[in-house]
Amino acid sequence: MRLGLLITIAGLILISIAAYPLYAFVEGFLTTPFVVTESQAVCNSTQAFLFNMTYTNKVSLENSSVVLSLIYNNGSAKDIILYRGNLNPNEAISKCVPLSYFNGVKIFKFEFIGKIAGLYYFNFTLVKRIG
Amino acid sequence: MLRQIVLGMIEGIFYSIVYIYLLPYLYKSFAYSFSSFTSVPTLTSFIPTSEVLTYIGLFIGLEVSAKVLKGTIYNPILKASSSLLGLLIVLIYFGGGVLKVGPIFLKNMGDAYITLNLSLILLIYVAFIAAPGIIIPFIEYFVEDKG
Repeated sequence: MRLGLLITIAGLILISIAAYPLYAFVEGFLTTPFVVTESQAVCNSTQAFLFNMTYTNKVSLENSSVVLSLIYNNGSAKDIILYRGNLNPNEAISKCVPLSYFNGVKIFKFEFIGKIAGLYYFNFTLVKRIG
Repeated sequence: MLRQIVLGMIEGIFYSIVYIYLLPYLYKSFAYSFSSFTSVPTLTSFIPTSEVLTYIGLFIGLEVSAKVLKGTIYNPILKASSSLLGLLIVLIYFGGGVLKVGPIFLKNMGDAYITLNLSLILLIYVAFIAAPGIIIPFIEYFVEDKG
C-alpha cells in the first residue's frame, strides 16, 4: 500500500514537471498566438511579399519549421520554407516570396511545426482560402 | 462482509470519478483552452452514456469482488484488472497521446488546426501510475501478506 502510494506520488510529481513547459507554452500561445504580417516590397529587384514574424512565446520551439504552402487553381502546390531551426523567444523571421508565386493561388497555408521545449511535437496550421 | 462490500463500492465509485469524469474533464478543458474564442464541434463527448455505465459497473464490481476475496489470489488479479480498465479508458480518450483540435474559425485569418503530441505524459502515466497499479497488488499478495 505504502509502495504504491509513493510511486503514484512520484508519478504525479513527474507529470507536473513534464507538463510545466507545455502549460507555459499554451498560456503564451493563448495570449499572443503566432502572427505573421505581410507587406509588398522589392527584394533582389523583384516585386515580392515580405513576411515578418516575431516569436513571442517564452518557451522555445525546437527543430521547428515555418512553411508557406501555396495551392493553385490547377491543383498544383508549392511549399516555401520561411524558417528552419530553433524558434527562441523574440526570434524574428523575415522572408521575401516573389509576387509571381501568388498568381492563381486558391488556398494558402501557414504551418508551424516544432517540438515544445524539445519534448512535445506541435503543429499549428492556418488555412486561408482566397475568394 | 457488508463492510467490505461498502468499502469496495466506495473504491469503485472513486475510480469511476477519477477515470470517467475527472481525467477526461481535465483533458477536455485543455483541448478547449486552445479554442477559447470559439467552440469546437468535433470535441463534444468522449464516451457515450451506455459505455460510462458499463465502466462504472465494472469498477464497482471489480473493487467489491477484490475486497470480498481479500487474502486469496483473486484479490490481486481483480485489483490489477481494475487498474487495466483505468488504463484502457485513458488510452481511449487520449487517442494514443495525440491531441487534435480543429478547425477553429478565426476572423480574417482563416481556419486553424492544432496537433499536439502528449505521448510523454501518457508514458509517465503508464510507467508510474498504471503499471504499479497492476504489479503492486501481486507484490502485496506474495511478499507483504505472506511475510
